[in-house]
Amino acid sequence: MTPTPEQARRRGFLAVTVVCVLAALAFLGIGLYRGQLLLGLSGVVVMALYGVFLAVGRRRGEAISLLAGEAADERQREITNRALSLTAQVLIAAIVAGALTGMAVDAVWTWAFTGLAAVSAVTFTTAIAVLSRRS
Amino acid sequence: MRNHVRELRTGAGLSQAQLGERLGVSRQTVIAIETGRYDPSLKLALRLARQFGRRVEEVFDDTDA
Repeated sequence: MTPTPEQARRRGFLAVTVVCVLAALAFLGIGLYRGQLLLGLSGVVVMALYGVFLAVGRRRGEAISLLAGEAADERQREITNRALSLTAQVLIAAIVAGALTGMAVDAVWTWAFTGLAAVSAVTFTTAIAVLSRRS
Repeated sequence: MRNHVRELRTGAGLSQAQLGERLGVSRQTVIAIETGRYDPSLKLALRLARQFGRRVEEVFDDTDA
C-alpha cells in the first residue's frame, strides 16, 4: 500500500534521525577506540547540532524538510533524486580525478580511489541493467 | 507548460494547502504547478483534473511547448 504523505514524511525523518544517531555513535566509537575522547565527542556534538537543525528547521523551509528526509510527493522525490544524481556525478568526477592523480604520482592511496572507481562503475552498470528491465 | 490550476482552485474557493491536502501533495508542489515550474505526472494531472470535474486538456495547455 502506498504510504500517505504524512506517513512518508514520518518514515523519512525517522530514517534520517537513525542515520544521525548511528553516525554520532560511530564517531564516539572511533574516538574511544583511538583513545581520543574529545574527537569522538566532537563528532557527537556535530551530529546532535545537525539533528537539532533539521528537527527545528524542517517546518520552516522546504529545503530543510527535504534534507530531513521528508520527501512526501512526486515533485519532492524528484528534487531529492536530482540532488542525489548531481552529488553522485561530482563524487565520481572526484574519484576518477583522485585515481588518475594517484597513478600519475605513484601515491600509496591510489588503491583507495581505484577501488571506489571500480565500485562506482559496477554499481552504475548494475543499476542501469536492472532499472532498464523494470521500467 | 501553462495551466489553469490557479483559476480553478480560486474558483472552487480552495487554498493552496487545501488543494494539496486533497491531492496528497505539499503546498509547495501546488505552488510549483500553478507557477509552471513543475509539470505533474500523468497520474497527478488526472487527479487534479478530476478534482475540478474537468478533462486534463482543459486544465493543462501544451501549445507553448
